[in-house]
Amino acid sequence: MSLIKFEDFCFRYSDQEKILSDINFEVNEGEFVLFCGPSGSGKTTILANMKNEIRPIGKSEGAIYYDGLNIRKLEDEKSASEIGYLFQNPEDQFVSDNVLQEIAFSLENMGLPHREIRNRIAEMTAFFGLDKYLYKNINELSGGQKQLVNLCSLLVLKPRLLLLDEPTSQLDPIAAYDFLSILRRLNEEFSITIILTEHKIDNIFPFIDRAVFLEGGKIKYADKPRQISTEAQKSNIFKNYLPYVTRIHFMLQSKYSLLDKAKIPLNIREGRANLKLIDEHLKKIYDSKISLWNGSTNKTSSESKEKFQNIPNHVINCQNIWFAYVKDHMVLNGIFLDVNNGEFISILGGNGTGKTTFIQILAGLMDPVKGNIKYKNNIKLAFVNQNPKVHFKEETVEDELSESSLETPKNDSSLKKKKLKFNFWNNNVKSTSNFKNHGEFNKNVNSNEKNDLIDLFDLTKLLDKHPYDCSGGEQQKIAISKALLTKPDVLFLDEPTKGIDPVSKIQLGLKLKKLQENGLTIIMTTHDIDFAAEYSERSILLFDGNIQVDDTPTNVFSKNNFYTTFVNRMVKDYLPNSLTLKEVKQEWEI
Amino acid sequence: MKLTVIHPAIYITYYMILVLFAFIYNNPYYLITFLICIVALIILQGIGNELKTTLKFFVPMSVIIILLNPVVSHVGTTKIYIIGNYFITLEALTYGIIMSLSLLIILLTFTSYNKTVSYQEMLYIFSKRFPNISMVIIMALRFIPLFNYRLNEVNKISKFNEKQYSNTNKNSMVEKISKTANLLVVVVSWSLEESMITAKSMKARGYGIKERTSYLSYKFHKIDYMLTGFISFSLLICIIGLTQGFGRIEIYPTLMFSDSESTVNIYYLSLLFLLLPLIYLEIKEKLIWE
Repeated sequence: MSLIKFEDFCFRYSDQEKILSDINFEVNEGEFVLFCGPSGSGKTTILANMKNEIRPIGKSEGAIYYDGLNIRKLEDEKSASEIGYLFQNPEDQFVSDNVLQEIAFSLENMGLPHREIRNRIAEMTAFFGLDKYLYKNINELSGGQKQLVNLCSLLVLKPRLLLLDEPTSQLDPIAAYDFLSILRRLNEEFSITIILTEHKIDNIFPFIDRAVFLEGGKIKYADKPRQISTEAQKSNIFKNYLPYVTRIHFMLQSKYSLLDKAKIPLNIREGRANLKLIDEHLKKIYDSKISLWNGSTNKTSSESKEKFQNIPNHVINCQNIWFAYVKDHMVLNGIFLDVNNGEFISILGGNGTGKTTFIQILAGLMDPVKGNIKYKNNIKLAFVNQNPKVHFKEETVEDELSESSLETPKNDSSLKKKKLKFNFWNNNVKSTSNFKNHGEFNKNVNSNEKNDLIDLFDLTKLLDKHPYDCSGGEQQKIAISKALLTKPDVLFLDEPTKGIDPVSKIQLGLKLKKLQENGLTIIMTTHDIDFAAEYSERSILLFDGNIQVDDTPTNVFSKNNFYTTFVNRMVKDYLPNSLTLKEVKQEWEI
Repeated sequence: MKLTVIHPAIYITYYMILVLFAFIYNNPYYLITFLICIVALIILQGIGNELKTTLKFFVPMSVIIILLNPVVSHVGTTKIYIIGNYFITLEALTYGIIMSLSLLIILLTFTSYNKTVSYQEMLYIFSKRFPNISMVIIMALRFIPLFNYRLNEVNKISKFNEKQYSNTNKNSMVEKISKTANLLVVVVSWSLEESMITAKSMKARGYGIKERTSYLSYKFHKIDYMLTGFISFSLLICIIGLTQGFGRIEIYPTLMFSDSESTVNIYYLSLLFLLLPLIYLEIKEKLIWE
């Protein structure tokens, strides 16, 4: 019998369009199911509806059954202990400030006797290797460990079903991979049913049982990974959700029909096996003299390296930067860096290597302990924090965007805001007409520019929403637009792709690229190697408080075996210098 | 003390008794004995450097008390003339000194208490009686550093923006205040927003559906009974002594205190005994480790 069963389930927040409609599907005990879809497609709403305690308030039709019983009639205790729910941000779920207290919290809630609590904590912390951290303060843990503690505090309740809402979106790739492999163990060794939503699925696709792709609150595809790949790759949106390995496969398939018979690869091992297949096949045909993908294009990318060294147009000049929060522990040890005008720089590095510290010092948010930074005269900087919420202080997105550019006296601007709000009340017509009216009020703002940005970042629909009600990706876009409205020469972005869905990521990347072409200098930190390789022109790898490598992405990553893009890991034997799908496409003419 | 586990309830009552006694006793001999024992305990506990921080705070305060009390209060019969007709009384001076001595003892007692009883043990004691309050304390302990961190982040951004966009650096007081208020608005709304998730996560883990238990558990062991017996016995004698006036001196209206009078009697010794058990345990521990 199925553990979870949705029957004609619909959901809407009061007086709004349906967020979810006609959801019909079943999850069997012990299954590992992945939910995918653009932000706003209803993934989180589906997950939250399976958990009575936190289900969103709204109208629902149809029913969800848990273990044959209507989930709404589930006893509190059963629902709390058998269904575990993990949130996106590891930071916000903590109730207390130390690990032991946090793990014990859920058990204490259940009113379990002291001995039982200790037993369960002992077992679980040993399984996760957290037993050494029991008395640690939460703040001393890394992001991955934090999420592990959160997971642990659910597992001590012995759940049968785990609901995870983008659990790795705030983690760096390695921590994310560790976390996912723990989920896999839980699923395989304890047969815990897992339902997960996730944007980056390369690591998880190989071991899920089923994937469900959602679009606009409806189930678009729901099938096993291989089958769903075949269907999804026809769609322009969902194509981007597939693992790179699979996407390369489909690209090759269109050229080499012999792949039709081959298994659709989900992980790198399978992908490479297929590549070999083609390789051998081609060698056979062409008498083993020409293999179609000989590394004929072994372009040494030294020319591109020269490109940025020959331009003596420094915007920022860093001299011997040292920084530490506490005396004993140096974060940055003497960094030298020149930033040229119009560059797109990505700063990469593992967790805790000081990426955020470095970018904040570069932007002048913090002063280095030693050393100095010179900026070109009359240069304007803009900074976007990795948590866009830092930048929001207004009621609506519209206000948010107008306020930043109004650098007039305070009273003046507040008056205007009142007018704006009044305006909203009056005409509840489409917001497009709305902001045209606002343009008249903001005479000192270049309203064209603002509208361009709103169009560029697709913010029209969000204008009268509260910034906090927007999704993570949308918030990121708003914060970036807000920064851009100040017309900066240099834009600093701290982890701009955190928690953004693949399609928005492509859009963001293209937009940044476009801005860069118009002369903007962009410096970003990121964990996302694929994003850095695709869009940035210069990558800086931080290690041990210093710049380890500073070169083009190709030169930085192509030599690495692990710390490189999925595409590169897959095609390494044939195209060692290709990092992105685009490059592979060009090289193989597919 | 790591090797001897003592029920936190005993600690808490014991330290409460000490604080109370520091108030009640005002005989300098008793108080000085008290002080010496507490200092010894603190040094044995290995937090001798805390003495410095306490003194840094205490010295100016005691000076104020000692100076201010005779200046303000002219009660007492023994007059000391300073300038012309202006006098202070010996009683008020003595009272000030003894007051500040008591205060020092209390401060040190709390220092020692902080070392001995972790906040979790304290919560364990309170969570049975006041489960909600202890929950709030737990959450506050998590929230305060988070709030600080957020304030710091928002502050950085706001300073950065100011540097970038405003040419007039001089702001009036009113503007400064309104800026700070704006800053706080951002931090508070951000914190509230994140707290919603904390609340959800608490609910999702079944907070409030049953009476809470605690993962900490302390049982009364033999040593606890022995300690309780010892403490209550010496406490009883001390109280008897106090009712008869041992350990207290008369300050107002006329100071009645002679240093020739022998203080060593059963009541003095019982106070000494009351102060010794923790010192004894610390010494015992030191000996074991060596």
